[in-house]
Amino acid sequence: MNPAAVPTPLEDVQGDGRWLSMHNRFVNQAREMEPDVVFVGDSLIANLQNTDLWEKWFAPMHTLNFGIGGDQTQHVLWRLRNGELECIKPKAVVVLVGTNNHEHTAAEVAGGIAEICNTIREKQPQAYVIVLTLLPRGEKPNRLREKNSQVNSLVKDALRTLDLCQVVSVDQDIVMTDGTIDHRDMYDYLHLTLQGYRRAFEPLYLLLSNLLQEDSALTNDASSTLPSPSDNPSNPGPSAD
Amino acid sequence: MSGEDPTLERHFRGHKDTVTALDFSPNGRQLVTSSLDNTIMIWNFLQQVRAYRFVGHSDGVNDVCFSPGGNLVASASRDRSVRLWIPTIRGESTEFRAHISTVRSVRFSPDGQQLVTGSDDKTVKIWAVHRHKFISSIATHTNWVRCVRFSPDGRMLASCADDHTIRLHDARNASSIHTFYEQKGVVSHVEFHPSGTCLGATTSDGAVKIYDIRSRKLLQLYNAFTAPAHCLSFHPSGHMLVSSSSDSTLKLMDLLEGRVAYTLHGHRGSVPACTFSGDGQYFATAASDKQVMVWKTNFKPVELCSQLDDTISQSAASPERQQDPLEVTIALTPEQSEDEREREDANQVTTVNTNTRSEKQQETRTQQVGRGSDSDIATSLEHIMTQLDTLTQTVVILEQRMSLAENKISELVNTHRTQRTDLNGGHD
Repeated sequence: MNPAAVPTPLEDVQGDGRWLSMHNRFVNQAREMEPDVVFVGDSLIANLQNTDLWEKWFAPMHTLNFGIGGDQTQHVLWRLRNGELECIKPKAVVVLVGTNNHEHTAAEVAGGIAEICNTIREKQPQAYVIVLTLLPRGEKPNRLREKNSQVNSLVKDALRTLDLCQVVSVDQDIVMTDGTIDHRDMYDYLHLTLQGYRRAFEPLYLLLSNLLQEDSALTNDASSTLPSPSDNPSNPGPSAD
Repeated sequence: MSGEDPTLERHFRGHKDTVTALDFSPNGRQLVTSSLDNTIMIWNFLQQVRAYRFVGHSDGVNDVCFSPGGNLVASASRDRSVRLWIPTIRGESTEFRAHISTVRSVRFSPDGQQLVTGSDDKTVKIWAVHRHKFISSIATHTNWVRCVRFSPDGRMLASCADDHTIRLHDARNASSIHTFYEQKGVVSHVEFHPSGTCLGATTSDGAVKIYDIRSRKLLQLYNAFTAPAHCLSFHPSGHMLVSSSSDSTLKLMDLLEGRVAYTLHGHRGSVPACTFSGDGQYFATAASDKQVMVWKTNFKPVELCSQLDDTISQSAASPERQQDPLEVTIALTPEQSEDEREREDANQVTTVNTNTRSEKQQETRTQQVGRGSDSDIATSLEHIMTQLDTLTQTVVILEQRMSLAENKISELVNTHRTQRTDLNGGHD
């Protein structure tokens, strides 16, 4: 039995119940709002809503952000099975989780991600499931980078047969030619900076705008005024330091 | 300005899901409400008169309103259509597919001849009420249009959308007059001040703003709520407004003094709708707790004043009540709720199952879970009254159709005449 694929709530070791508070807040948001897109996952998803990319690209698409820092696949699975997918009818669900599953093998993590996709498909038959590839981590090549890329290829295989499901690579430009990661892309060699997010999530933004435009089937010009990726939210300097 | 505090007057239960919008009839005797349970209901203020439930939409109803003459009700739904109902026991209705996505808002023009609708398909459309004829479409918004309103003189349209803008349009040629940009948050609701010179707007960061239309400036800002503000309604005197929020409270703002005068509790859950009655003596509110509350305003009568002073008065960024000396809390206790159920109409609801208007039989299902024999006399009286109502409305509609036909004929005659003169003049 794959522990990464068994829905498990996070144990409150610190003693302040924050995880459950966040989960309950998300469930209430699902009850009240009408999102077209839902993002779910770990801190990489959660921190996205602090960037101006969120306001500029994703918030106009009526998006909800259900990311919680530190989450592993089994925690996300539990959250999705316990209310975060109720009452809503999104057109797309975006998933990024797995880099925190330190106690599990690559195969188990991939199994967890696949189980998450199955859950979303079951609860939201109309939604596109978009799985983002795990990002590399650490300044220099290390075994966690290898594990994450193993997970990515296993996930790509596993999801080939699932309907309306797509794997989007967000990891291709992070590692530089000499094999290191720049602190300007990942300030702690795990989490993305604004510049890192902009580069990594641009393909996702393009995919989502296409998916949503397809659905609306409008021919008037209003739909083509979505901001294009080349409008950088802030003035691009030579290299943000 | 205030004589006494606002008090809870009536409490209606009957909807099975969040109540999204409400409107008083022009004669003040009825209230129409719409809900995500796919129905609209009409509540009567006379005791003993049943509430009507109108079934017809196939998805949640987002907005509902009476026509200025009181003879029609328009509703806007997630099923992408708009329905026009005759608000009687027979509840005839016609529907038309107005948009390609959820319709969020619908309003009649002050002369009752036109309708404006706003939708998730980012457009605002203007229609003629007669035959639901499409007149024009405004496609300048770049995100879901939440709310559309005619100005009191019918010459302007205001619309607000999730693209952070409030737009003013000319109602006759659909051209753009001005766009207000909202920096933080999105504008969920917009209303014209009764004088027609200002706009009120509620935003998702809990603020209520008053903009001057001519100078295009922000006149007043109330950082009233800590949760998104959903709706606002001006008192007909223009001196006061009521506003409601996700945090389940209502606030009454005194616009002359520029402060929050009352905070009202009582609903449980988000309050998407609030509205003053035509004479300002009552205001009604509706919430996601499925309940509709009607409050008595209890203000000293004030003369209808036109304009707000051109002062920007910012209430301190305090949801703390330093500017709100009076906080009226109305919490319904369980016993009180029981009493309410005794007196109110929740059980005595007539469900009207309507099809699109056809000459053949209308199917009317009347559910009578009635009470005693006292209601029998009242019932027959009510039937007679509703028959009278229907007759009156039919005559009104016939009149309207006649005058429209006359206009059409004179138009045709004039065009024919001009054509003839053209032909004659063209020969050289």
